[in-house]
Amino acid sequence: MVDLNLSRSALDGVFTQGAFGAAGDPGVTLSERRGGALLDLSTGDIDATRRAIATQFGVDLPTKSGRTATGDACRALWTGPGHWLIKTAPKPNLERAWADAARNSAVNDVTHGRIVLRIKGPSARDILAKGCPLDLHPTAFPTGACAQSLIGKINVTIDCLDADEFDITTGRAYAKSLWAWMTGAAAEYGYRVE
Amino acid sequence: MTGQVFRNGAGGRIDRTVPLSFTFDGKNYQGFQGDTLASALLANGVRVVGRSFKYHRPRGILGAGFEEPNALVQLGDGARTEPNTQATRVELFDGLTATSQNRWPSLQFDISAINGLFHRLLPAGFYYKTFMAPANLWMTYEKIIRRAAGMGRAPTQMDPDIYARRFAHCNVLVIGGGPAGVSAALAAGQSGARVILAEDNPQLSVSETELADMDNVTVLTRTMAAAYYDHNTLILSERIADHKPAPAPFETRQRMWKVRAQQVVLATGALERPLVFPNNDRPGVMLASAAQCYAADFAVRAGNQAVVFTNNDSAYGAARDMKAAGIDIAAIIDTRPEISDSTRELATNTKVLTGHAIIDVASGRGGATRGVTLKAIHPDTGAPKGSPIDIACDVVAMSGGWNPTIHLFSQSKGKIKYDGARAAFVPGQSFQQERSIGAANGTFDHEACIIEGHNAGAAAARDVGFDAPDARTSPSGIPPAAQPLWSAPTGAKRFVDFQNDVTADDIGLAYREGYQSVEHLKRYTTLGMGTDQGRTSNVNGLAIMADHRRLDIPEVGTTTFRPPFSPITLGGIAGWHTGQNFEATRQSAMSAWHEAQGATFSNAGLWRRPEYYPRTGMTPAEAVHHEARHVREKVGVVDVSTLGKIDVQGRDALEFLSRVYINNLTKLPVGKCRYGVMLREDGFVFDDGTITRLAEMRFLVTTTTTHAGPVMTHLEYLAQVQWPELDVHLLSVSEDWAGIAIAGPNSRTLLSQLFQDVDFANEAFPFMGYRETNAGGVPVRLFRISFSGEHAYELNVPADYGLNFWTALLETGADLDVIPYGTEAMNILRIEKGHVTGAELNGRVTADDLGFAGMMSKLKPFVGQVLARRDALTAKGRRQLVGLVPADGETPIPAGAQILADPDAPPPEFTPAAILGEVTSNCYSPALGHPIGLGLVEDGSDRHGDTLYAHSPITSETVAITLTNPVFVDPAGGRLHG
Repeated sequence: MVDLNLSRSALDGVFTQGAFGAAGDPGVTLSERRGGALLDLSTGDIDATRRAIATQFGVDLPTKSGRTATGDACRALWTGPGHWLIKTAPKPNLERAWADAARNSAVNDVTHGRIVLRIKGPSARDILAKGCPLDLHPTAFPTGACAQSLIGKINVTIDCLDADEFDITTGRAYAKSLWAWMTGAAAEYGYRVE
Repeated sequence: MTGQVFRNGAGGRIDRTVPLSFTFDGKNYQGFQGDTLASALLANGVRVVGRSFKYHRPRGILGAGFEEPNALVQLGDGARTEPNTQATRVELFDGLTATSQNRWPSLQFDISAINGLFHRLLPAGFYYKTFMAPANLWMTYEKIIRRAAGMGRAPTQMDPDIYARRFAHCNVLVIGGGPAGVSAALAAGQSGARVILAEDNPQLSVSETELADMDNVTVLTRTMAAAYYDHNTLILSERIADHKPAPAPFETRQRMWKVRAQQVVLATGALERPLVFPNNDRPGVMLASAAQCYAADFAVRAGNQAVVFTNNDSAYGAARDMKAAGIDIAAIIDTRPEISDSTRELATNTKVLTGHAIIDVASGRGGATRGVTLKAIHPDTGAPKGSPIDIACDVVAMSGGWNPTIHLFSQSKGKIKYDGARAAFVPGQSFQQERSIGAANGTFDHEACIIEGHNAGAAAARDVGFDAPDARTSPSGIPPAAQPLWSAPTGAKRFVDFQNDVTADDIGLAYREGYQSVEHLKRYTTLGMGTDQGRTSNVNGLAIMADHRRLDIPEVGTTTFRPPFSPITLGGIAGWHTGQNFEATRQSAMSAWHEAQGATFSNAGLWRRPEYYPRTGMTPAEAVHHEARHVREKVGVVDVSTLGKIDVQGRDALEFLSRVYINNLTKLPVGKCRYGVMLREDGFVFDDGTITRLAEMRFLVTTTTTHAGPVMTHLEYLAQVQWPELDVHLLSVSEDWAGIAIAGPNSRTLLSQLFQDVDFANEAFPFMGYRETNAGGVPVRLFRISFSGEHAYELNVPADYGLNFWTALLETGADLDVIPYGTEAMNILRIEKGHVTGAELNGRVTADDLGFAGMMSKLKPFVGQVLARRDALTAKGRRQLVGLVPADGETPIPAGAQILADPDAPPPEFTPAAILGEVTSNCYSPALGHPIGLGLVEDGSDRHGDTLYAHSPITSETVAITLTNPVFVDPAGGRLHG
């Protein structure tokens, strides 16, 4: 009998670990982030929701466009007025727990609908700039910034974790196309897959 | 002639320690690192490099850069071959191969050159005149013209190279790395602003180490600014590997930069104008600045003995540099009656003939220049007079003045103005955050250019909030160099546009035939329509037309400059997006399984969906029919993950959906689904799908696969703009849930085995019911809905588990004979059931047309309700959904056919009124054993039983058809509800 509870990545069998592209020190390391949970939180009552979430989950939901906030066990990305993408650890009934806390809000567990790719290394910004029309210069897109944009015509959410480290979230169905774009764009700089 | 006999032993910016071999038209030559193809050809004494477009006259190198109209070559061969490349901009590398264009069979002997002898048969507007009667002759002309025109060959193989795009942002973008541009970049860079400096040449014109040391300044060489769009968006084309035989492994060949700049500084320089005189296209006649450039930068003598022909002072400097390189200057011919003493000083020990002009150029072997004939000219009319003087020479270095390179400025929507003193168009009022400086601004003095650059760079940085260096004071009182326009009034072919073979006489003909507006002149004569966009010809052409019309040049106007400034490769434009990467694709959690089964795929939006699964011993059609029949008889599963799914939550979610759908939803309880239709504002059907009430204030609505995006946009618009007072939250969850439909008489048994804790009895889980369960720790959503018309369910599970459930269904159902089916069988099943899809929901049908009138609630308002009541949408005679069967019971109904009452009527494409309707869907029905179809027919609901005719305008088939109820299978719905 099939194990119904075996979680399969959209990138199953797509990549192998190792060094690829131009020779020399790799410009970036690429990896898929698995094992985390993603929640989409939308509210019409921003103040009450922020208070409730801060109390129960220890994160101050950012109110400024394009900003992230990190709490004890989760990270919140501003994705619109009263709208956040929450990255946290998976738990049973996670969606219900957040929905109970954030009354008058809509919560969706979107862990399965998205994939997260991490790109890290000195060439990360140059590679992303090949497909993302935003200004990714460190002065314009510093650590802690996030944005919803396009990479190679694919909708993405970009989360700047550090000076040369980014998490790219996209729809699950686009996983293979985004992976192909990322590796194609990184080839001239050389890349490692982990 | 062998070896680089025209190369000097010293001087120039070339590296003589790196010799390079190359071939031109199959012959081997040598050059040096730092050469262009043009400079290397001249060094080797190659004078004729191409044939002209129309008359196939031998042509030599005219310029030294962007302005080159003649020396267009085919570079390389095989997959990397590239046509129409300017030899003056091709960097030489070892092993380069180039061939000349526009000649057949060879450069020396060209059959089409006979066009030159019969040129009266090929006047301006020849192209358009061939359109005149007899019309069918155009077909013949066209082929001959195309073959004779040549213009290189496009590669026929796939491009093996990698191209990339790159987005960039900066405070100040400087175009042009000459003295003015470098000065501007330096001043802006010193302020700390983010600066990009783009230069087309391999290096900046001045070496500037301070610039290279600035982290905030990006210098892009080998980079051409191709286009200037709105919002200070510029397109730059960077040639990373074009100067190498082939890119290194993984190296990008060209990178297309899309730059958004807060401030732009244009330091694009100026291009020299030719003079218009008889036979001014002989190989050896070139721009004075080009001859100067070859002498100074490449240590190449353009010839042994030169005549310099000018109407302005700049050519005197060129003559000095040419002389310094060892070229014998036979004479400087100046059209001006007088020149200043300081100018005359530049030409010490050189013969200067003022008030003279060249009236002919004699050609020798291969058509190359061997001498000129001069005459004195009348100081007012320019008419030649007196006795001719012959001077032997192999180079004519001409200068007709300078045109600031205002192409990008004009593209930016800046207003250009005519400067009479400079006899040139110069930048006027800027339209965007832009400054033009240096020669591009009509400033030709070197020191003044540097100061202008500094001040513009500093001001640009200051304008965006940086603390920039102070402005410097410009030396005042430098008069613009006088550059009167001049063209010989008469004589043999006087070329204005070298690339398109447009002569001064052609412009005269256009004038006489009434094509006097510059835009008409351009189209009629093709003046300025070559790949060089008339860089050397436009102003001369305008001046000649202005003279005919007795107007000033500003009154004649100028044509519009359009991107790209100079040709760019399609590879660079496409970048990554070629072949299988042309568009992103969307794949479901089960895609890999479908592929492994050998399914064929079709596209639905960006989704790839399996069409059918091949079966040994069956044709594709038989395999599809097998799948469809099997669903009706047993059970099948189909991947429906691609359907749009929108989560709707909030206190006002029900109210919101009530306003969106035509249906009355107030009585929809938790745990039930409903089929729903939404209209556009204009009352036509937009989309259909299901609405499921998951909880009191939470719904899941589905959309068709291809309308998922538009429906989401529509709903977001309504929620955010029309009804912001409603508490409703929308989220697309299409990709969160894998979707599988399980259809067929055995579907209930199959699901009962897999989900043993769910009661599948009809009373417990009726048609249009919804249940949630948990299987092996995975949350499962079950919907009892049917697209096929069979007893059926749809199952949603979180996508990462989708494949598990797909395989579990197939394994569990093995005893029940479960099979997977694809979109082809799905389509047959829904046609058999009379269910509509994109083929029927074509944006022109109303709910009533589809038989949904009864679903339209009268108790509440909804989007499209008012406009759906318009007379035209409710009148008799609308096309309504019907079923179609062939009258003979066996002939297939042609796809897309028009439906007619009279089979012998004239072709319906000529009699639209005779068309009663159209076939929207057609297939062979395995369940019925004969072809069926759906169609939209005028008053079709009242015509069941009538016989009409389906006529295909494509195949010309006409098939007698009988109109029926659109529901072919189980019209009573017993299978659905049982």
